[in-house]
Amino acid sequence: MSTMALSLTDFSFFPTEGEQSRTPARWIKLNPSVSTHPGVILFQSDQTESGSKMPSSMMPGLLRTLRSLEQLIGEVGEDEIEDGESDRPTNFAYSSATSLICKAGSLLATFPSGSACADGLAGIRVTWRRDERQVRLVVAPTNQGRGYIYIQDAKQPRITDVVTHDSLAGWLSWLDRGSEE
Amino acid sequence: MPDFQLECTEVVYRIIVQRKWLEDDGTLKAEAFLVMREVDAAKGLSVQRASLCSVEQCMTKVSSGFGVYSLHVGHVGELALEVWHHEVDDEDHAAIVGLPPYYNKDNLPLAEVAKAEDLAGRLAEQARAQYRVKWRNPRPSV
Repeated sequence: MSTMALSLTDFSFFPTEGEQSRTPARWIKLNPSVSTHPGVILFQSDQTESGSKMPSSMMPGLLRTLRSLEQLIGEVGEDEIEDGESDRPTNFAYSSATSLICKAGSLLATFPSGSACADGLAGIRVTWRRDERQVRLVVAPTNQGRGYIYIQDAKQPRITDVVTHDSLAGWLSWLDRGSEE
Repeated sequence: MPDFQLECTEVVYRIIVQRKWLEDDGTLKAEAFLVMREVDAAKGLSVQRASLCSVEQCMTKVSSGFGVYSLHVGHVGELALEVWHHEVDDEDHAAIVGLPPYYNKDNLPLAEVAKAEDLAGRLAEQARAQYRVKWRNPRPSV
């Protein structure tokens, strides 16, 4: 699959040297080569990778996002289903979305609240907003389907079908920086 | 009356029939303007003409809903989309034409998926809430 218009090389998503004083002490800077995306400097928690001990500053947004995901699986929604639509995501979509978000969360000092919904095609959509900006994660119902991250901002919308936890973390960090840029 | 394109001065209503089209705070999401069915790709995304259908009348058009949002046809046109009335439909019905068939996203070029997301997001930003309460109409007795 091709990737279009994903420009990560012109700016870094994460705090740079001068900004590190604002990050919690337990966050350490990794070798930039750890990231699969050029231009992205990753930070990683010194806690376990299981996600069971995340920084408290991350918890509210991450938990709200995960709770929103859980509601897609656990409850019968209010929506009436139209012909041909599948409103319940597959287990694959749910576990993929949960994994991506938890792993992305482990790379971030703060995590914005996202809202999840079924995409009507047995996949999952998660939207994060800040002012005019949005990050939309689309997770396919199977590993054969198309997933992507769509980025909306006033200047130029972007999309990538390279959906990894570090690319998601990069865009969520970009979103969180908001008008600071 | 044959098919015709609505004037840019008209206002149309999009009826919110799915809860997932709204954020918890009532903000309309892009999902409200993604084409999820083949029939909508062919005919366009359903809207009601405000000049012929009040908000209250919109609520009778569906079995249940969560809100009614308005759009200016002229602003829709700024996105290179058109709003048409089709002869076979009720006089107060129209359709937004030109949105990519999102239901087929796995087979679309990625640029076309991006276009669907972009247009849906812009329409959601344009739309203004006219009514934002959940309703359910009684089922007709048999």
